[in-house]
Amino acid sequence: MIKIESATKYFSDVCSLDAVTMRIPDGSIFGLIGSNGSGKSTLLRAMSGIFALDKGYVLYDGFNIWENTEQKAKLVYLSDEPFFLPHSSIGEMRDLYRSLYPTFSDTKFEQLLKVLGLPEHRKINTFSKGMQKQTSVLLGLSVCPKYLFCDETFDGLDPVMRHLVKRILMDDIAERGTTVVIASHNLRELEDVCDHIALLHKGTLLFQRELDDMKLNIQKIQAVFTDECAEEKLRTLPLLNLERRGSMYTIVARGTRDELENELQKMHPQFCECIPLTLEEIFISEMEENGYDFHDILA
Amino acid sequence: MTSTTSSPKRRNASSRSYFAFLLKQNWPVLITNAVILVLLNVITLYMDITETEAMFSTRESMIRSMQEFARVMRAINILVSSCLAVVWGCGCMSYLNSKTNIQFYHSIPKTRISLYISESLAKFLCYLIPMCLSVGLSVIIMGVHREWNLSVIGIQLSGLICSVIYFLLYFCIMVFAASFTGTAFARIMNAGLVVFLPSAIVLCLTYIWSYNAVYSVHTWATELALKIFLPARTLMVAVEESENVLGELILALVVGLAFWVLGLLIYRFRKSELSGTPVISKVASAVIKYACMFCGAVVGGIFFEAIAGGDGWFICGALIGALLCMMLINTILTKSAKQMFRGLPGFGAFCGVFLAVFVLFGVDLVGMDGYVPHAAGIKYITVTTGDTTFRMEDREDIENLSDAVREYIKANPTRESYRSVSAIEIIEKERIESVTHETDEMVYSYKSVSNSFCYMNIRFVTRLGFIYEKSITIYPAYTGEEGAKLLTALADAEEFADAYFDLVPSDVNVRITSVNHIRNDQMDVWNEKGYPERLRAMRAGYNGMDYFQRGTFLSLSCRGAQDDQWYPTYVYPVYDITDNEWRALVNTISYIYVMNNETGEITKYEDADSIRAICESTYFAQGSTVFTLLDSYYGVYVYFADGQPAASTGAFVRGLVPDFIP
Repeated sequence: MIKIESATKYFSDVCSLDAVTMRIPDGSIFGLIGSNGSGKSTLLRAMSGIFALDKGYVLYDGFNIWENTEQKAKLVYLSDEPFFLPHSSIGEMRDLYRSLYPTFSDTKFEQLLKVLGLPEHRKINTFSKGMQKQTSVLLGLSVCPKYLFCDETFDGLDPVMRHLVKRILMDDIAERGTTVVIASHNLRELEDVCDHIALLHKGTLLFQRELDDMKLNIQKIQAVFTDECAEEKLRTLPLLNLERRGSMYTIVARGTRDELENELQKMHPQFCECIPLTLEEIFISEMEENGYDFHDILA
Repeated sequence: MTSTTSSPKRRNASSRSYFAFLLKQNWPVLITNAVILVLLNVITLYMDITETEAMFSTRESMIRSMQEFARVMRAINILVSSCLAVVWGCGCMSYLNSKTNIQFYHSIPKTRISLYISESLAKFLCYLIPMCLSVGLSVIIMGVHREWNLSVIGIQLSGLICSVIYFLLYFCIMVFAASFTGTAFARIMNAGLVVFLPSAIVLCLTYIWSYNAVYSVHTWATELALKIFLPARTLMVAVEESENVLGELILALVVGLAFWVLGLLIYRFRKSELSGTPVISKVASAVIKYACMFCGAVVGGIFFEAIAGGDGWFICGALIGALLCMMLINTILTKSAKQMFRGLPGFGAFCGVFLAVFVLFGVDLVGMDGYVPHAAGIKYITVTTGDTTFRMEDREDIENLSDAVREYIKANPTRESYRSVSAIEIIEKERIESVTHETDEMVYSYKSVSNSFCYMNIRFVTRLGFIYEKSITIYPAYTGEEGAKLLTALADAEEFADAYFDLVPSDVNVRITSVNHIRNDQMDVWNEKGYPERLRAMRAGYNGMDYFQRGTFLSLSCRGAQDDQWYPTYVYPVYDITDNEWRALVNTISYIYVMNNETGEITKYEDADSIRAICESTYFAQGSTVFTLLDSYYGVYVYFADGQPAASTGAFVRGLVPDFIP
């Protein structure tokens, strides 16, 4: 488990992380979301041992990460701007990673290289941005890390490749139980991979939840009522949002699926169906409940 | 909260693996070094051997030539190694200059100490291996040509050691600079500042301190600054003069390693996010900024003072120099020209402090210039006259000399006293009007008529370690009895007698003919025995060796002290009875004036015997050697019948003043 306790980081007079405390369970896929400048990257870098915290600490299974080579050997940090040696090829980068990480797997490397279809001997500086991102994922996963930190890793990838990379990540997690922390400002990108979410705003952790918990307690239902008084009745529910288009109502309300469906059935709808909530909708609901305007936070 | 480190075995294996990778990555550095050093040492040696084999007939000459070659190559190797250190030092830990790169390097399972050591060591080995290889190949080539000589190999090995230490010194300074900078340009700039700025500050302070001084000089401060802050220069001097080389090598090594360790400590706590910032510490930025402004102020002041003259222009130039420096440094440190005027209040405060320092020391409000410490507080005095420095520790001598200096300064508070015009001016009028020599010009500017003077540098070292250094130039014709008293106090000192020996040859007819004659007690190749060898060499186009050097016109190279140091000081006889041309010319000498510089009394000699006797004892020499070698109390002016001067103003050799001269 990664334990972050009162992590505080200042850049000159600007507070980039303000006493952030969170727990990241082993084997989870943890999404860090927030707008630009919210402190996502800073937190990832502090977790990777790149930045020294001004206050607080980051512990891996009880051990501080700062200048701790044994713990650092278990993690790989994939930066938003991947690092490659000047004029190097994937083969040379493999040699570098192999010299740094005792857990580096040549088999895994060959396997992923084949899947991604990247040229091993071409200079990386001739690659497109997307290919460079793929290369960094390839190298990072070949290390077989216990912890993988991805900072805007899916940026610059085309939809097909994004899907492929996500699948590779999923396979790796399923195979080895890797703990992945993904920082992004794009909720849609995270919703189909993450099981935990944390929202940062201006260096402060607004909340951290398990995604399933959030989804279980908020439901989105579409229902058709011919009764003109339906809206009045619907307002008796623990509503988070209510929209009407003609006789069709879209309801976002707090509660379990069964509870809400039972209540609605009592109102005799002509049609009633539970539909999946997007992560964005869940966040809007959660944030509004916490007194924030979500659109201001994730502008 | 707990922390742990990886097991030593696993850590070592990982470190070895990474280090091997670094070495492999640095192959271009290794190859470049190898090409440069092999070309420099091996190819040139091969060319030299093949050339000199054709040039010399004897093995002795061949060895001498190779020794000379090895010495030259040693100096070139040191220079090249220093340049390589700067170049490769720029590339060492270059990831510190990029945010992306630093994030990678600081996230990998390597401690900062490990990274620092691995990077430095890899670059150093990429230099050391080719360097040793090139020297090894040189020795083999000598063996192949059957020219093995221990002294030559010794010079080559000493060159190897010196070059490696020079490389280390500059490389460590570059790495140290890297530890507190975040851009490539700033690294080079800061390394330059580390090397030169402390010396520059001391020199600038010394300049201000000596700005209006008549007597006070601070050569000790200059020497100290250069010795402490420029160990490379001190080492270079030591290597060239083969003096205390070991001590200087150790000093340079210690200084280099100290920089390296300091760099490691800074890097250990350096913040990763500061890459891309020219100087990572605000304190270091301020120190660099104000130190550069100070040097810029002094340089600006000197520039304006030289053009326009006067204290006002010095101040004006200083302020402009400081402002320009501030603008430049601000631009570099902030990477934006828009920030060039940042910190104007600081600039104002700097100007105030600078003016205060200038008024206090430059204008000498505290009266340091004329101050001579009391004898009781003086530990010892060192006196430099001519080329020789000697130390006085005898209490009586210290008392006499300090009193004499004090009286002299009191009697001659400014240089204006030299402006009195002597009767001798009538005799020397023509010479004054046609002055060409620098010394003559200087004398003319003071309206003196004799260029005979004694320069001495007297350093009073107090028991508390303070140093008061006075520079005194005595013109025997104008400084009166205080000058005479000072010279007497000096000449009467026990240590003076020990330091200088009798310069008068026991037999004036036995002429020393060359530098080699004095240095090595052997005739050089100008003589009959050596002539064919030299001719042979000259035909092969071989020039410029000390071995063939000879003083111009029957020079007399004199030893100034008894410390086995030889100074190639040329003293030319006005008249040489062994020279046919002069023997003929002596008949054309019509008369000689001899002036007693102390009393101003002039005597004219016209008879042949007196002229011959005076000529045999009369020499002329360059400025400051006069006191050491010649008798300053007399000026000898030799004229032909047509009234034209026969030679520069001469003086008698010390102790050889003819009896009939008053």
